[in-house]
Amino acid sequence: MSDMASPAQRLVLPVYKRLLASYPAAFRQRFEQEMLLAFQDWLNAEPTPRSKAQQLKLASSLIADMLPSIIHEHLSEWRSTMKVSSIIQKVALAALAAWAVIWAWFIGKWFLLLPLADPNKWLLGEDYSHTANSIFGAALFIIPFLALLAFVIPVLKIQTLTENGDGVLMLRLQKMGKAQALVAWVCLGATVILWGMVFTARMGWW
Amino acid sequence: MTPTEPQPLTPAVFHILFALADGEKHGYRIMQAVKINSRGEFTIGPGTLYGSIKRMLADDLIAESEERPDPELDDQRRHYYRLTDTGRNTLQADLARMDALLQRARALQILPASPTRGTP
Repeated sequence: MSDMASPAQRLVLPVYKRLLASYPAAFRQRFEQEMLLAFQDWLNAEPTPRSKAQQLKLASSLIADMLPSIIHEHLSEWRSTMKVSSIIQKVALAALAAWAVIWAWFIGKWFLLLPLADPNKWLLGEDYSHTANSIFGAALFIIPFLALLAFVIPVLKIQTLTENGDGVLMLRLQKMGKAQALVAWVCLGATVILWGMVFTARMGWW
Repeated sequence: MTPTEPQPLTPAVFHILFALADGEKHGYRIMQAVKINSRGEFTIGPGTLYGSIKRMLADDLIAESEERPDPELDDQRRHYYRLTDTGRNTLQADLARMDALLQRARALQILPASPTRGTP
């Protein structure tokens, strides 16, 4: 069928094939041939795009149709293989618990002046390096954000609506359990506070 | 656990179900039927179509048809899809929901009363 394709169509087909190749392997295995046939049928039935502008319009409408679908399929694949998501959430919870203990320890030691050991020393050793200190410091600020992702991504739903050939990508959160939502809100709050502190400090506001 | 409320169908799923209501079709025929049924106001590209088909197969709204056309008449790589009973019921429920809305819109005079037939 592609032998009968016009030069313009031969230009578009490689773009389409490249987009098809971006789908997850399992999806491609099931639908690639069908999608290729459907597209070739469609190309043969549509008026041939002659000008560069028409070809560009066709390519952009293809991308608008395929890109949300590719993202959706990857996310859905990731979620289906991610019964792992519950494992990641458990790891995130453990990291959050450790994070909360360390912050509480810091606050107790440096703000409430409680007679506590220096957490840097008992976590990083007596002669901790600058790199270890930087990584540890960054972790203290980024853990709630990573935990937030671990809880939000599994309930993130991507919807694609196509009206008049325009693809519209919509992100929606599906319902989560109360405990899960509480953790997510805490993580969001902690992220906003911590990153707000970093931002305002960098701006020299305090 | 409470039973889940039936969700309104997405435009793509609705149009695919509608396209299959009068018989099994392969991907491109579905794309054509969607365009015709919506009078060209809704088009569906292959990306949206096959992403929806994948989910509709999983939700048992459609199934792959076992009947194949004559190999000489059609490419054997094509897959044909048909409505399942669940799919037909879902489509009917969504149409009934729209019909009820239209009736309400007429009652509230948002829309004119049902057009009289046979008048020029």
